[in-house]
Amino acid sequence: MTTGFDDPLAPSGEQFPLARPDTAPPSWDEPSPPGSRPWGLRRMGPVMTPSRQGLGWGYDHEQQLATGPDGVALLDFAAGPPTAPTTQTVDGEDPPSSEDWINDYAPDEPIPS
Amino acid sequence: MTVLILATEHDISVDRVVRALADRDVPVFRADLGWFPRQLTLDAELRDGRWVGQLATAHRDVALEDLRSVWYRGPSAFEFPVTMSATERRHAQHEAKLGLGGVLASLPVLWVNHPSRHADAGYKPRQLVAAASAGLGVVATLVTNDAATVRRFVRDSGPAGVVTKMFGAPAICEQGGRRVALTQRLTGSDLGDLRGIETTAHQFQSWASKREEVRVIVIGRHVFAVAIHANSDAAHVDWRADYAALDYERITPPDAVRRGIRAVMAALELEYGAFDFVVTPEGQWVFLEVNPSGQYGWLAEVPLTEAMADFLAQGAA
Repeated sequence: MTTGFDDPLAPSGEQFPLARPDTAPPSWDEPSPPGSRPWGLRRMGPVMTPSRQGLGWGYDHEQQLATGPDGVALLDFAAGPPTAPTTQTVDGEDPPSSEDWINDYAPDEPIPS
Repeated sequence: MTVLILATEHDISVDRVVRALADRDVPVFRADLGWFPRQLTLDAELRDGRWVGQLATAHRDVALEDLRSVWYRGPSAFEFPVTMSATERRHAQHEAKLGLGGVLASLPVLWVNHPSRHADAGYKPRQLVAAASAGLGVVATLVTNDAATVRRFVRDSGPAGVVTKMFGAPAICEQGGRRVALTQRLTGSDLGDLRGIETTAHQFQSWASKREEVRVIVIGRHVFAVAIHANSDAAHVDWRADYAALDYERITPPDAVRRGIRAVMAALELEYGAFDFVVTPEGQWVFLEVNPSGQYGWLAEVPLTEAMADFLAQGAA
């Protein structure tokens, strides 16, 4: 159990890391030219797996569970036990298929809603 | 006593734990910090040296002093109304972080993980030092913004080659969509055009020959290990590139590796960690990284939901 802030490496603004909201607007930034763009970003490619955004998911506050488009808890209509080939995008995989779930967003620009 | 879960609304791994806690008759208060301030209310008063009060939504509330544990699993950022200016939103966010975040972070409960320790553990170079200090094998690693140093490192690494990877999240939002860059082996053409290396810090590591990779999930004192066998070239470099080409096998790490893992967890003050290792053809385990909020939901080979629910229900010792 830890409760303190002794000897932190992260600055105060990052000590409560928050994820990018679903409602965050898309960024239309264009890549800068080679030489200006960080080399590590020059190998970026499009995400090939589908995003969970736009799937019509909801949330049931009574059950405290995510729901599908028909309001049924997602847990209840997932067929069979979870396995890697069949549960991409909804089963807690690491990126990129779960890249909507990045946990270290900590934005400097809060998202208006 | 209640388990507080701070997570987004759409997280199946959390859904499973919520239901597992319900099966154990353990009260749960799940909230996303993106609900604050409009759908989530905090009132907290300092009494006798600790915060008392409550978190409340339109559907339920929980007393701060009634919490047994907090699962801090990537809640989304606070959201403020469009009627605020950008300056006002930045102010409101910073105040919310220091105020609401400060109250929560001060609660003397089991944190999985404490957000400050989560933030600190995000620094990969620090992880590598902690792992090496714990006796775990690590690969030669270069952090630089100098192209000549990159070329020298590649020469020194020999024929096995070098990979590059991000320090942080491998995805960005750009051109109206998401873009991703997983771990990649450097080629001759990469080395021929290193423009942009000088613009920021970049990470390079010697390629570690792989028999298999292993994801180790640590939940409290429990250590679960799953070998990941890659059956495609892309997955062999980075298994995240081709999930369909993976086979999984539950395994037991060597005792020395288990001791090293526990030492890293202690050094970083983590209660939960998702470790990634390479196992070489000779059987040596090589530490790659530990993610303080790494995913586990797709690893069906191990009872991680049950372990997490039991750990959260147990609360602070």
